[in-house]
Amino acid sequence: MEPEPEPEPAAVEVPPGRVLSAPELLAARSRSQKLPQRSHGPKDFLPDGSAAQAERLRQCREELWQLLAEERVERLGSLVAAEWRPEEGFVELKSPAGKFWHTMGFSEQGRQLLHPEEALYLLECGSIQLFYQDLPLSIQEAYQLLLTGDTVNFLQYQVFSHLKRLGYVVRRFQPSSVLSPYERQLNLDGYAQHLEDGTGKRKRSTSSRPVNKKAKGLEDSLLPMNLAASSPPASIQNSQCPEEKPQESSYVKDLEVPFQLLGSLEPCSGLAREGRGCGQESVKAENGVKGAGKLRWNFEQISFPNMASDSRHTLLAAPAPELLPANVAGRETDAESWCQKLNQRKEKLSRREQEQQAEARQFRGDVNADPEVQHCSNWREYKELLHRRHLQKNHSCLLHLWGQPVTPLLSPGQADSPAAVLQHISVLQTTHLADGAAGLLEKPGGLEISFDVYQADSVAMFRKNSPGKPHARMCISGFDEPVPDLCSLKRLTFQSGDVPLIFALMDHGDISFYSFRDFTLPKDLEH
Amino acid sequence: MLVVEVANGRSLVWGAEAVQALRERLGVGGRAVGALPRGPRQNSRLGLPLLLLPEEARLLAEIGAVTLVSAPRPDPSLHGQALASFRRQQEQSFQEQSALAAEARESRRQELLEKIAEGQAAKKQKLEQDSGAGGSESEAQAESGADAGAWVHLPSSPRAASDAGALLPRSALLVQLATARPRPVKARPLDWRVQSKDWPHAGRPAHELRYSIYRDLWERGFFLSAAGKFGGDFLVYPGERGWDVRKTLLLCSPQPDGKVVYTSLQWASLQ
Repeated sequence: MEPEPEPEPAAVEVPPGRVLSAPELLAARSRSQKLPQRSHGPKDFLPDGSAAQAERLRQCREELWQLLAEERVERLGSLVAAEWRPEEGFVELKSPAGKFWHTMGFSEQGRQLLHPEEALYLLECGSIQLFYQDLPLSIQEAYQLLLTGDTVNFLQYQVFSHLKRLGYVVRRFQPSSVLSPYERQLNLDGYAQHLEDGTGKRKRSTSSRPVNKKAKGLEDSLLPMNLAASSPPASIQNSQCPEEKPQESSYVKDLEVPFQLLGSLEPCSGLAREGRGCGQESVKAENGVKGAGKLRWNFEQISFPNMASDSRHTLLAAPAPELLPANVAGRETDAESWCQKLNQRKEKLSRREQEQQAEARQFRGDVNADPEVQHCSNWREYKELLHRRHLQKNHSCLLHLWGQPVTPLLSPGQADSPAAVLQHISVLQTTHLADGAAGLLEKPGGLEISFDVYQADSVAMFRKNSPGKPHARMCISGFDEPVPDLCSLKRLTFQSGDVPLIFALMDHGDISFYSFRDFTLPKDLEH
Repeated sequence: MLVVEVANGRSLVWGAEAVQALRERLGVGGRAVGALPRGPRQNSRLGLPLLLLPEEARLLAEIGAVTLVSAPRPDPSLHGQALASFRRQQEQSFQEQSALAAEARESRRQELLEKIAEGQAAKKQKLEQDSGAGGSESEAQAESGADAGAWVHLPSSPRAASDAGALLPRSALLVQLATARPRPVKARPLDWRVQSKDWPHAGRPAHELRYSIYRDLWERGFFLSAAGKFGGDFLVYPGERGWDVRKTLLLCSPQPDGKVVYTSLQWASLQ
């Protein structure tokens, strides 16, 4: 017995698990691969003490113990060696990845990495052998080591493996992949998608691409510039350029911003995106995840010069040369002349405007000429006069209704159909779940979105570097935790963008999926 | 004595014999939550580990059938020893597997030889029948002689080959991906009466309430499992698993004197 460092009651020896001998290993390889059916015969409702029932039950049980006792036996050549790195929170592959690399894992600095939950799932499937300090981990040890970190806990792993076993592609939630409403307004996602589908030359983005190429892609800003030469969607090209030129100030993210637009035009988009992913190393990534995600535009730091007539900002500095296409030279301009030319065009129509302005001036000038106004000695009386006039104008005969502090919700001329009436008198307005959610702060320790789930039938089309819109996003919780409050719901729905949000609730091994549906009650029931 | 490791309030059982003992001898079910080695990509039948309800773990500890321990951390001082023994075991397994593979090859070859011998004999007979009398006999004899000669040569070359290629290629080595930890380890026992990081349930009123109901029903011989999916606390079965039960709703409330009062609700039709 080894001496315990702490003065405590005698430590308990935990018996080891089964280690198979060589003949047992060989025998395990030749066992049947089919799962026996669950029940032998129809289900019984009550124990009736019959021998047949007892026999069926015994048979079921024997099969169950046999199944549970089986161990995983694999050929060494078909296992991918992987090493757990606790300080980084990832698993690094030591030998080339197999088929699972198509939908799982990510690459960084030339290394192939897996998240802990992915590695654990693959270990349970018998696809990898997980080492820690050169010793292979058993499933029990892997559960202990990989699931106690702060990145993924036991509940999340259960949901992850449940969905993976059903065939879904499950990735960690990438907040940067959610488009902001502004981006959606500009239809940026549809545009990028269209181009990727249109150009057929897209190579399958393998992460085994060497690092040098990626770094070069970032520094060599001319790489995506050959779009100027390549002709596809020339019209879209033209509409792109004016957008980029005015971005002169705050180059915080400008170096990468045009990459998103230009990178998406690049036929081999995987290269540019990975390049950008490299460049993001300085940016703190969440959960230590460094995937290739679309860069979020920070509009607070990109300022557009105001060329409107109210505040003259007409001197435009020359754009930075690295932002321009190869053969285009930028120079600074004074847009004053152009603004005047614009105004000149308006001036042609402004004769009418001038007349209107003259009228308005006239009207304004006449206020004091009104004798009733002259009678008012102070502002209060003037306002009362205006109020009276307004009432008279609208409701000359119903002063008892409209003159009170509490007025009717509707005036007769305001609504022409029952639907409009209901609309006007409704005190509660329809609101959607995502309304007002933009500014909500995150609560530490609150519910978070854990995974993006992609459909099982899209596996063949799935590309890790541009996964597209997920089928759903998962939030994971347990039954003993409270139902999320409205604030959390709004925040999470907003975070999720236009992808439906599903709550996976774990109860001791059972998973139930819930979601909140946004629907509008009909207002006008008859028509 | 069965040992169950507890971490963060969760009790997991990693041995198949332990699961069998729990279910058959003690009437405690638990829930399998891991992948089944024979079919890891399906959800209808799951495998080890078995997850126990906190109430189940506490009951087993109370009746003394099981020792609860805090899940042990790997001990760095024992690592070198473990690594050496693993490598030894791997090498030994490799040798044994190579020997077994050689034996299997040998026995297959023997079978093949017998078949070859049978085939040759049949052919010889056929030839003798076909060729009637005359010179063809000598031809046939010569042929059969040549055949026999060839046949004699046949076993020698494979034997030499089998001796030379006695070792398995490394990639064909079969390894076991162990489910439970393959070496013994020391762990600290867990006191379920005291609240700790690994056992946060002690003293919580919800847990105490559920436990008193669980214990009472278990003592009456029922088989219980979790029912969060159906909106309740427990599913109660009359015997062991394998029965399908018509579900009724049972409201349980423990009395201050320790007894439990049960009220059963049933759907009544309005006719």
